[in-house]
Amino acid sequence: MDNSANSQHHLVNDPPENVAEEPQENYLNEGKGLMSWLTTTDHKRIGILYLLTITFFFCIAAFAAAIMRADLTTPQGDLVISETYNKLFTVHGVLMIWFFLVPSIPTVLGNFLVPLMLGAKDVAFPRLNLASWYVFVAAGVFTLYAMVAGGVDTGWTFYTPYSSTYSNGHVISMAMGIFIAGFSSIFTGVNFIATIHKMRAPGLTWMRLPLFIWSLYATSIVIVLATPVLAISMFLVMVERLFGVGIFDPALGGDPLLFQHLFWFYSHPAVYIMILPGFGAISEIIATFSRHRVYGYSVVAFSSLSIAVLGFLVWGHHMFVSSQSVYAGLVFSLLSFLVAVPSAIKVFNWSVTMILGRVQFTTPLLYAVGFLGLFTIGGLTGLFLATLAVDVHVHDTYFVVAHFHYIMVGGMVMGYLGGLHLWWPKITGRMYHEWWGRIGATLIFIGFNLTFFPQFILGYLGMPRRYHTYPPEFQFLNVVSTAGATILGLGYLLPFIYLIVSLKKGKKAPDNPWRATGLEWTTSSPPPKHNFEQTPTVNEEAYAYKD
Amino acid sequence: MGHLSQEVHEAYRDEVQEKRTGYLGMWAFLSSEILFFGSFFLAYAVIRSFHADAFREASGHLSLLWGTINTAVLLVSSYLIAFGEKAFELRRNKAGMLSWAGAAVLGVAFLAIKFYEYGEKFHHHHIPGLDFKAEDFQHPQGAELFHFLYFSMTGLHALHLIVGVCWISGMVLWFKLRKGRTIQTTYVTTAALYWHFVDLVWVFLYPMLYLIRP
Repeated sequence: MDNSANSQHHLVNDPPENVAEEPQENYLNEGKGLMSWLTTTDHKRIGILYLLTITFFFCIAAFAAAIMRADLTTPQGDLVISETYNKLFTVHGVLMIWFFLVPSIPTVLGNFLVPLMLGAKDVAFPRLNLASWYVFVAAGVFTLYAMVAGGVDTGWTFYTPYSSTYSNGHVISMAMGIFIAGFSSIFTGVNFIATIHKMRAPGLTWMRLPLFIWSLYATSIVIVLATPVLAISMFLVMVERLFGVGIFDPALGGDPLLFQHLFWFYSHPAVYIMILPGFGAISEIIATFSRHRVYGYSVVAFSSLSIAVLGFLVWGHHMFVSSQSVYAGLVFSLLSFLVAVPSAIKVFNWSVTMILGRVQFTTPLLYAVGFLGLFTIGGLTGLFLATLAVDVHVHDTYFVVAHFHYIMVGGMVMGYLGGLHLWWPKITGRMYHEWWGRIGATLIFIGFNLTFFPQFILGYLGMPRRYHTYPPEFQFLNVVSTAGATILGLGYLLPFIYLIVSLKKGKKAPDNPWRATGLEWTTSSPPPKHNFEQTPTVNEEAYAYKD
Repeated sequence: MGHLSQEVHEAYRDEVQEKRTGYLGMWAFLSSEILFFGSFFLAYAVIRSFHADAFREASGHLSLLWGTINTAVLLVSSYLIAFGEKAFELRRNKAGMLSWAGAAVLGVAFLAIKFYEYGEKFHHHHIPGLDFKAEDFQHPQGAELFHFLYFSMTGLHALHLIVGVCWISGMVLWFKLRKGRTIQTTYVTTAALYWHFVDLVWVFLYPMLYLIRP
């Protein structure tokens, strides 16, 4: 087990000398065997279970994207036929959204860290927490079955009446998967709300909470209030398909726009379910490696809540070109602009924090800086799309695809990977290779921009999304995009490899390798089963960096 | 963590913390539940705005008598739950268990009446999608959608009630087995909250479905 002789390139701070030689009792070696994992109620182990599961789904979804990008290198789409292409982007969207992005930070980092950051022994309802993982896996089984049985060609949005009446795919099974996955989300959301309210250590007041906790709190509220609406909209699609009751079918007296309203009432807030936890991770990374309290702490905390609230009032901006009333469109447009205010507050405050602090360009910070750039581009192009007239021009083009990938991948995935690196020593007790980390973060940043920036131009020039062929004049930019995707893929492969290698060969992590504040760093790496030897008491604000 | 008392789950510091956490968890869950039913209420509002006459007509095909009886049954059950909760609080466990058992019985009665009503619908071939006798209605399209919403909303409600009946009767049995020991108010109050919520949903479903008749 001891690889300390195996000298690794080392980072910013020298670890304290007193690293234990013998592996101490911790959550990883507390129980042995598969059953001890499958029956665990330890929030840290459940976080690991989720990490493995969502990585699996990420790989499948990324593979689907790779085939699509390969297909798009030629205008006539030589690799797959249209139908296969439709199934590929459906799988990519469904798995990435419900089986990777929505659960990613909350269920992996959140499960692991929320009790640690609060100084608690576990989440409020440990058994519910484990149940959420089993429900999630069951949901995955339905979705994978739909894939293997022949796929679904509706796109991740399941617009009716196509999904309910005309599509030939396995819509019911996939909708069932999403329906079930929602319950897993709700369990996690309820758990976090109760945990954050009631399980805080003595002295840990609301205004002393780490911003990661604030962002997960806002996320949980959105999860709890939005997800049931998705469940019902999926349920109604399934019933309409099974029994031919046309609640969304105009030919049978129903209303297709009702589906869009229900669907987007969940799916727009879902954007904030995905991005808010990313904000939280970025706040922690920037404070840690700027060695400075996040500037305007309370404003950053409340901006998460205001994004959560505003997020419920903007769903109609997905429906500007439906038959929604133009007055509704005006209001939705205005409200969508408002989301930019708290988002910009965060970006400005993070930037100021870095200016005021002493920045150390470690791997997590590289991810965070990448996040700032990409999220800003993604957010600003969101304003283009919230503008009624511009949206009519670029609706359903690659401009939209580029915009939401800048938010979801450029924002959220960067935040997730940055957070995973920041807390990797705590989770595994091992340090990863710092230089490989920096190379990976840089490759991802470059690859990402090469992949998606051309798509803004393609969309503006009029290339519609979801087509597997296109006019020849768009080929150059598509080839650039595919080339970028190759680099991006390589960039993702790197952390996958060196993080796994670090488990065996990584240097032993000290309790607090980054000299960070926060209760999670006061316990050992990896933490013992009940997190703390005794319940900690907090008597200072968050991010109290002295140097 | 053997030094913790048996009554407190190991995640919690003490009983007060466990209690407050349990309440908050249930409230958070119920806020989610509101949105579950809320989606159906929205669907109902939209579809009814298209088919107002059909909804009125189709509502007339529901049994006002059984619907009203069921409303009374559920309201009385809620009273018994509240009464029992107070009794448990005052350590009058026997009275508490009796009234909760009564509430569970009323819950079963509600479900029996509900399934009798569903049976009548089968009998009259008013099953949307599968077996819908359009000739019975002047506005068959809207009437079918009304019946679909009727089955979905009352079905979801019945599902909740089944969970409630199992929960309440399970707790009564559990209390009985633990005779003589204190009964934790957390478990009592969270179950009661849930039961009242399910009742409250019915209070909205009853006028929306039964009382809009001509």
